[in-house]
Amino acid sequence: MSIMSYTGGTVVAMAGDECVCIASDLRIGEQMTTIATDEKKVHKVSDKVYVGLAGFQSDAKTMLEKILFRKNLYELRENRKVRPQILSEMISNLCYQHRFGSYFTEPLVAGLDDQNKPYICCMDTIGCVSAPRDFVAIGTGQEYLLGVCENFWQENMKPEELFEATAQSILSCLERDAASGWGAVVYTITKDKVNVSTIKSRMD
Amino acid sequence: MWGETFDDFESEERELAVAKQNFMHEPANMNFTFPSLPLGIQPVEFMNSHFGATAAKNMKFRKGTTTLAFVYEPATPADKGGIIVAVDSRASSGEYISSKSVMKILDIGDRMVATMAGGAADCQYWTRIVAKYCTLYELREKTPITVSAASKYFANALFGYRGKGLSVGSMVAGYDKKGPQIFKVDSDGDRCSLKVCSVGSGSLNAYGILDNHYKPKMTDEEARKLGLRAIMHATFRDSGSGGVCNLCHITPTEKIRLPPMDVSKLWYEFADELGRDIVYDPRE
Repeated sequence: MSIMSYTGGTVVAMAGDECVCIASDLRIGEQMTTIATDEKKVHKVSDKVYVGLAGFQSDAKTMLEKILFRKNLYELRENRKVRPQILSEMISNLCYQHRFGSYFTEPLVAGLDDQNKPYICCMDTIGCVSAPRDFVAIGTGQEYLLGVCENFWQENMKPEELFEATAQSILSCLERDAASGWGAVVYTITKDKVNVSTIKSRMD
Repeated sequence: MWGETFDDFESEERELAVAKQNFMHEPANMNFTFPSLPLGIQPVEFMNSHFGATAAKNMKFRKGTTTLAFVYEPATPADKGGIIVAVDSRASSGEYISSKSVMKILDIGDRMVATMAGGAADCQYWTRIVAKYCTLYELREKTPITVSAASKYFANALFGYRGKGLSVGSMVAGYDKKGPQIFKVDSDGDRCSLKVCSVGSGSLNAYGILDNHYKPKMTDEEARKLGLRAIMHATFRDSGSGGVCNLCHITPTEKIRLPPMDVSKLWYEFADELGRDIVYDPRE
């Protein structure tokens, strides 16, 4: 088994009309054994900017500290909130600094910028950014997710529709991915507020 | 009788003689052979390079299981006692769940079962061979085969392929003239008789529950619940196991297959019973 699937975990983000959704599962494992079922992989970075970190969770934790450190430094120096576009560039630079000995984690950024335009992107372990307009997925369930998202995603979804699509997508993925599951959490980011909901899923 | 030719027989007698010659000797029940590999190919390396950990998702063999079986005596006269066999229903290739509804309790005759862990194809094929042997044995000897004899045939068949990369971990369980019996048989050629047994990636988790709650004397209700619970807890911790719990109760007189139970549903019921708070509350 590769180190990227040692702990397991999946993160997905979808973009809608002035809103984005980001969801992750809750499992932490050591290969085949489930260790904990309360570990979300989505983290708040700024008011309307969230990052998801899939892959090896020890590295993901370190990476998150480094991301927060750089983001805080940026906000103090520039005296303004970080935009998701900027944050993804920062993370990409951070990843590429470790080009020849990278962290085993794939970052994902989802959020709304100052014009409330949705932005989602994901990158590989060394910082190659891809920012499509529809949806992104990372982690052990990536392949399953991209397939179902293709079916659930539509142009200009409202927050309620977007939540439904994201939740259904991640639940479908958890049915077929043995390394993710044991519940999920979905963040719906709109211009006024962020809605957090946890979803019950299969416990096997 | 001397000087008598074949023609002197009554035609009916002749037919009987022919029939006897054709059918009354011991039938050759295993004349099937595998085609041999091309020269220079080592079976284990061949399997590993094409179907092992580095192989593509759909080329990997289906694996990952929790199976258990135990013998118990009835606690009250109203109970039947016997053997409980419980298994999960997931087939996975690595992290990919290739099936959620596999039947891992395979029939051998109408009084015996074999469970399936390890390579699914290996288990299914060799169980079929054992079932065929048992049927022929019963027809020939006019008495049902013992669990011990059937499992020994199974173990010997597997031993013949030792080191060739077969992957089988099976429990042969059933009721015979010696009483309820379970034999664990594996592809290393091991065969042992046990009262409480579990095989598969989730077996350690199942043993945890089994060792804690097993008693030699139980009611049927208790025993079935124990089987279900051990499988449910194993599927919760082991990502290689899941789906539904298939349960088979072998009593002295009959084999009862119980309806499949969703392990996820069982887990939520269990959490409810404990009054455990299952709601996850994220901090930001």
